Amino acid sequence: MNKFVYGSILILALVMLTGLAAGSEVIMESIPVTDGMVAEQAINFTKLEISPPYINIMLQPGESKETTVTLKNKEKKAVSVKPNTVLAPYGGYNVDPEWIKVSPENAEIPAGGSQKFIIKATVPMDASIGYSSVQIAFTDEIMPAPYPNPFPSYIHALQVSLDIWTTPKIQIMTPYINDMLEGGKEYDYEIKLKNTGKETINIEPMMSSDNNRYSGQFGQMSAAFTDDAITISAPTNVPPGATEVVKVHVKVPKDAKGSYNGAINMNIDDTSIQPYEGMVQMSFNVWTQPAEAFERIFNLKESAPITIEISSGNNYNPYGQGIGANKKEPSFKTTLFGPTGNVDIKSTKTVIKGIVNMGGQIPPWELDSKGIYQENGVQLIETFKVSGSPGEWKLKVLPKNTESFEYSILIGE
Amino acid sequence: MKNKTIITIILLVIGLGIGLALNQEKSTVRPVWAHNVQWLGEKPDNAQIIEELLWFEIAPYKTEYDFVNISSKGNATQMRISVTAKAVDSEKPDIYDFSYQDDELLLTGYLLEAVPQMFRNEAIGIALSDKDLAASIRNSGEPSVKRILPKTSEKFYAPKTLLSVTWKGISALVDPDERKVVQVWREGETGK
Repeated sequence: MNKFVYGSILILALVMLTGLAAGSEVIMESIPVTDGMVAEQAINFTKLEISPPYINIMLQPGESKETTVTLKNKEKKAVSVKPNTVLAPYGGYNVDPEWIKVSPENAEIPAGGSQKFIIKATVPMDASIGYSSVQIAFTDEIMPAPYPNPFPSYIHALQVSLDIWTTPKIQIMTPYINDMLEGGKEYDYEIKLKNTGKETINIEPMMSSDNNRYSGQFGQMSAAFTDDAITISAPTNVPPGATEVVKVHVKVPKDAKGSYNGAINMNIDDTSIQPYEGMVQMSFNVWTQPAEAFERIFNLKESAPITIEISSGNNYNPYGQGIGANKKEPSFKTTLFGPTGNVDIKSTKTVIKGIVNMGGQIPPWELDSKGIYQENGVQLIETFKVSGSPGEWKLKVLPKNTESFEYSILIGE
Repeated sequence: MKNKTIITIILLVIGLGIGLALNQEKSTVRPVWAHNVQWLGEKPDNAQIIEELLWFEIAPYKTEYDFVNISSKGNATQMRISVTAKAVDSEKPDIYDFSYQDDELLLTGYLLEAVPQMFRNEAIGIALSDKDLAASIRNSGEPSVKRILPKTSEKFYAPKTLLSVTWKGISALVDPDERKVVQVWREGETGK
């Protein structure tokens, strides 16, 4: 009976292992192999393919993450590999190679075979914020160099980008201001700063010293006004958990024309914020809202219905101009005068016309989005219909918040 | 002897069951950042294998996906997979297109706009720090902000996640870590 019990337990254990192993095999085989990297063969290096050849890991301090890479042996003999994590040239120093663990620690890959490695990155709580890179050299084969190199070029290296980030203790809730301004008018903007930390953080917002560096660089594109037109009022600190407001007042000179681009440096006293952070960019376009309407005269030889269509310029983005309270939607004041005077016209139809594309002229780095629907143009079209009598007619259009518009006058059905 | 045989068979069945169950539990684990995963339309028989492959290929940008909708066209050995993932802190989704063949999943296209508002604004701010670009866009409205994956970024800067800030006819490729504009594209330019 004892023999039977021991035998049964042994069978049970074996079968469980078989079940596990059978299932695990599916996962092992299902890892995609993409974009492999084969070492240059000019100097007869071992042919090993690393897939993927680079990985990018984003982690906050205290976090860890695992990812998998596959090594394929393209040789006709077995190859021994032993991963070794080293700093990458120009990769930065705020990462410790010890944070990267690779398992298994070594492996013998049979001819034509593959081996999976699990890369586990663990970032300690006190890690510095920033971007660094390391490399995992699977063999000690290096590119020959005519001189000693502190960072040898490993042939079989996996490039690992480590992006250590954290939510800043101060959140700039308005990191840019983009608006259309009119000469002679004054505008107010608010930049909200939220302190999510546990200590009071000092701030000292002021115009960036870089603002004047580029003045006049673009010839006719020189600034519409100088930094003097902008005044900033702000508290000296943001208490923990509080949201404070930095007020920006812009007094546009009457004769201003063109654009202004500058920045406000928040001078946030917080070590988690990089020296170059804490800037609020400003982009203003100064223009004059037309006071007089555009006029178009046309004649009717006989009575006929008149259909007038006014459309805004094709706005690339559906969200209109400006931001927040200064957000401006295009509009038109349309009037029509017939042979007997002013004609009461009302919009009979409003069309919102969108443009959806799947590519076209797009930045080369967005080419991977070709074939996927993207809405990137919205146009407002208003239609007016009146009964026309013979004589001279005058269409007047006063546009607002748009720098271009189109019209069409259809006479007849 | 008959009892022993029955017990042995029962143990075999239980053992195999436990083994497969343990494996099943392991293989259906989804990433913590994918909260609701749903197959739209007909779910292929090998949906589980495809899902496992997907978790190696997709990931949200500094956020979590509330919904991951997966759809497929084709047969079990060759199909086109489309993934639309929505994050709570972004109006626009991440869209991934894959082809699946010979047990391999290949990313054939992507449009990743699920960038949390804070990081979106930050990217626009960085783009506008380029004075030349800022002067060019004048009041072109709000731009689109798209995540560019390392595989693509490598061709233009470095194999890392970048953000593309695009107005009509002009685009800035932004490195959010270094807080700098690494490339600018203008419509009509043949490339840089």
